[in-house]
Formats: sequence, structure tokens, C-alpha cells
Amino acid sequence: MWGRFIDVFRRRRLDADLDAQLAHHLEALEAEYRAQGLAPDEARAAARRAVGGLAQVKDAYRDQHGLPVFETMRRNLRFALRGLRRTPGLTATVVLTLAFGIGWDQWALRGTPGRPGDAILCAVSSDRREDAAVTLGGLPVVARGGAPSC
Amino acid sequence: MSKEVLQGTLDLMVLRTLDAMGPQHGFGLAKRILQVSEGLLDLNQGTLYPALLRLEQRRWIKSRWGVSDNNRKAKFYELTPRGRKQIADETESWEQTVSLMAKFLAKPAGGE
Repeated sequence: MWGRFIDVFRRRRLDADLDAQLAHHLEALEAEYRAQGLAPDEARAAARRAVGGLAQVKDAYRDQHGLPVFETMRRNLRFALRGLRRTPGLTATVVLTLAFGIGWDQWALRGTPGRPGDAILCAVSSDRREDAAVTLGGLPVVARGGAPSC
Repeated sequence: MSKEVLQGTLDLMVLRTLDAMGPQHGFGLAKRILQVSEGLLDLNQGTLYPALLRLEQRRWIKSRWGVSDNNRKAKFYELTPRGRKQIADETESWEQTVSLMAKFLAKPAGGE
């Protein structure tokens, strides 16, 4: 399975490999027919007949080095991209809207303390004593103090 | 004999042929399989080369480019240790299948 997955990314090379192998196969057959006493052009024709439809051979080979799931995904993606190209106005609007939305979030949250990925949580305790232990779900709240500004 | 070969059957035939002959190119394999089968199995290229690719994807064989007897560039296939193990496993399972089928196909001695 893994080997097949990798081969999806080597399609061009595999196709070239097959071409070279078929060429070798054809030549070897031809040489064999010549050794059996056939004239050069007869031998060539006989070899071609024996190999049969090259297109079918290549198709059968491609079936083996493509993953049907990826093939479908690739086709769908290309179809989608073509659709986007056909409606540039809509595409631009969607892209700008998403860019603005994501950009705004980033800008609005700039300077928020804590490392990226930390949960942002604001708990307000009604207990006004300075040393009151504030716990949340059994866990101590790390930083506290100051007026509830959130 | 039918032109269609069961996939697993062909795999085992190719592996076994490589085991017997050592590194070999597609043409050599096809020729050898035709010989061993006494002319019954003339493999189509559209069967042989996808099968070789499948065996390589399963890492049972590996390939490299080399020069054939007639001094042409050819891709040579050879067995890997995994391929050798596969032959052993498959041979065993084939023998079981054959002896099982023999039991069913044998004519009962007493008749009906």
C-alpha cells in the first residue's frame, strides 16, 4: 500500500520506465523472430502483433500505479480550480473576505499573553479576599488579581 | 487453457521464476513462463508489466536498469528477502488448496 502511495508521485517516471521496457520487449521479440528465419520487416511486424495494443498495456500499467482515491481527489480539485477561474469576481470576494477575517482575528488578539495554543480563559471570582484560592474544575487558577476587566 | 490467470497465481509464478533464474528482465520472464508452462501461458504485456509493478510495490521484488544479452538497456527484476518469504508462505497455502480441492474432486470409490 505504501509503495503504491509513493508511486502516485512518480507517475511520469513510471510511464517512461514502461515505455523503455516495452521497447526492449519489442526488440527482443523481433530479434527472436529474425533468428527463427523471418525477414527483418516481417520480424518487426510479427513482434508488433505479439505485443498487441500498446495503449491497452499502458492503461493496465497506469491502473496499477494510480490510487483510485487520489485520482478522484486530483480530478475534483482540478474541477474546483477551473470553476474558480471561471468566476474571478466571486473568487476575489471570497478570498478577500477570508483574508480580512483571519487577519482581523490575528490583529485583535495581538499582544494577548501566553504562548500560542494556550487556552484563553477569564474567570471572575466574587471572593474579594486577596489570598482566596481560586480553583476551576479542581485546578488552581494561575494568574489572578486586579479588577475583573474581562 | 484460459488466458486469464488468477492474480495470486501469476504473482507466485513470477516470484518462483525469479527465484529459479536470478535477476531477469520482463521479456526473459515472459519467455521462461511460456517455456515452463509448455506454451500454455503466453503472458500479455498488459498483464506482465502491471504484475511486476505490483510485486515491486509490495517489496517482493526490486528492479534496476542493466544491459541485456543483446546489449540493450533493460530493467532487471530480482527477488528480495521478503519475496523469498512470500514464496514459502504462498507455496504452503497452494499445497493446502490443491489437496483440499483434490478431496472434493476425487470420484467416490463406491459410486452412487
